Amino acid sequence: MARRILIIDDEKDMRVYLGTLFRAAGYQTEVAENGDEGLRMARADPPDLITLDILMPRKSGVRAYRELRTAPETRQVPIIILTGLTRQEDFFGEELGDLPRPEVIVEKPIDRDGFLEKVGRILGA
Amino acid sequence: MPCYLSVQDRDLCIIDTNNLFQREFGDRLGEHCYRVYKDRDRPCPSCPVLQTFADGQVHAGEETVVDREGRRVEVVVTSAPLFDAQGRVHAVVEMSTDITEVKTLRRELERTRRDYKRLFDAVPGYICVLDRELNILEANTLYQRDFDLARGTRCFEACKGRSESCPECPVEQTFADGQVRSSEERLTTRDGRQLELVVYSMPIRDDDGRITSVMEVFTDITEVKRLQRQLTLMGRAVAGMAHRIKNILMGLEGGTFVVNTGMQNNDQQAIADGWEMVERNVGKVSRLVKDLLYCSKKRQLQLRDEVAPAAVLREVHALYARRLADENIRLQLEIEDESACGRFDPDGLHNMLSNLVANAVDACRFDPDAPAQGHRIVLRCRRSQGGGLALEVSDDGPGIPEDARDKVFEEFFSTKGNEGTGIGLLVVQKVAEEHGGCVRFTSAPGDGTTFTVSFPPAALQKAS
Repeated sequence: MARRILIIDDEKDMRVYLGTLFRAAGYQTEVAENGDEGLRMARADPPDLITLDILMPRKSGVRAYRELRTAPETRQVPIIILTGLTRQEDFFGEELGDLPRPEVIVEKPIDRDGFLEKVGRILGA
Repeated sequence: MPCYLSVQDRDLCIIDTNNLFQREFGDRLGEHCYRVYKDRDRPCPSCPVLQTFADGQVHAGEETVVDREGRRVEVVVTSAPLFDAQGRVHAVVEMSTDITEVKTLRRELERTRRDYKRLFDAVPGYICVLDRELNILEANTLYQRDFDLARGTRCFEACKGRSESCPECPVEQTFADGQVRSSEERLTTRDGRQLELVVYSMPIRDDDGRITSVMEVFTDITEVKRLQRQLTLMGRAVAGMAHRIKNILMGLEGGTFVVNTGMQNNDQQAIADGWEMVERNVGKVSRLVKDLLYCSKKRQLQLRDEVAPAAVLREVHALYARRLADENIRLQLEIEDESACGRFDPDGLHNMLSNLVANAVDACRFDPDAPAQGHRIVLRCRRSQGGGLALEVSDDGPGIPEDARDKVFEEFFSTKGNEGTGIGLLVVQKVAEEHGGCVRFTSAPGDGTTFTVSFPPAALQKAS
């Protein structure tokens, strides 16, 4: 059975790109435009992996991360964070606190092969 | 004795001399002293010898005498009485000490002082000398020109209009520890110019090494600071640009990947989606490059007469209002004077306003505390005080707290926003300055941000 990946990103470009990339690699994909929508979808039907764009309008990326990591339905779902800025600590410094760190942090622009390899490792495929 | 000695009688005839006298003036016994010393045929006015004959007291004065070679010698003359057995003055001893060298040195000293004073005054910076109470003992011409010494005798009164000394005054520190100190200061001259200066305070010591006064030397670094700020701005712009180009690259890479995948799988939708990504990002690159070129080229300003900034504002408003229609951001127009027009570069104005609106849109989109009723961006064209024109873009986004004001420029260059190109602020500044205007912003947390571009009255003609 194909693994499901939930893509949470406010940019359409990224949703289309990652969606195509994952589907070409044999995964099923769902997309959410913002953190709140992504959270709703993940709680309703927890995916096998979540890719989360951390810098989204209204800080919804950081909020979503915190919620995903604490909600009982989703706290076991591995999360890959995507960020376009190199100063990742700015977002995780005080925000994360005791929360577990993401499985992987990927900087944009992504290296497709390396990225797919990380995804594969996490999903055990 | 290291001076000439002559003894005169009441007729001022020389009756005795010492060796030095004889060497300088020759054997002149019996001659009148005024003849010998000065080649005169009658006594000198205010002759000290005659005064001594008159009152029996020692008298002194300065004279210029001529020796046997015709050389002028400057002397200090002291005349002392010689008493006879009855206590009357029967002769007077005249002692003349050669002070030619002393006088020459004195003249040289005067000249040197004048030269230094000229230097002091000519230095293209401010110099002043202060005492321990910070009274101004000396100030060079420039200092006196630019600061109102009538405001007070103390440096903080004249320079800054303060009633007490500045905190961490470098002069007070130098008085305390004798070290050279420096600090940066902001001062306003009499005619309203704002300057940034670096100040050095240096101790002036007497011969015993005690600090009697402190010299303050100011160097104008206003221009340097302006360039520094500009460089910082540009540095941040470059960093922000790199970030945005990264994003655009992602979009292009992603788009081409999706198109290729679509072609491989004969998936028309994927090809269409992917191509749309490519187009969108090509558009972003275009805008970025356009702004870059605008900022970097010494572009000839395409000024045209009869340009109404209000009309340009309307165009920009229309452009964005359409695009923001389905977001929760309302775009409003407030135009005070439709007809105000003048000599402007309409493309430049359009570019500038677009950048300001784009930044405002990004601010609203990324507001972490978005109100339920959404955001409001106001585009304003109004008269400014002084008869000029102001174009404003106000948003009610998050605003910037006081202590993060310097970082506001960084916000514009590093936020993720898609509307702005990242170097928009540079474009805005450039256009403003090209028209002889300037750009300022005000911002407060919870109140949003307003960028105001002010054009001077010179840019406006009278409305026809």
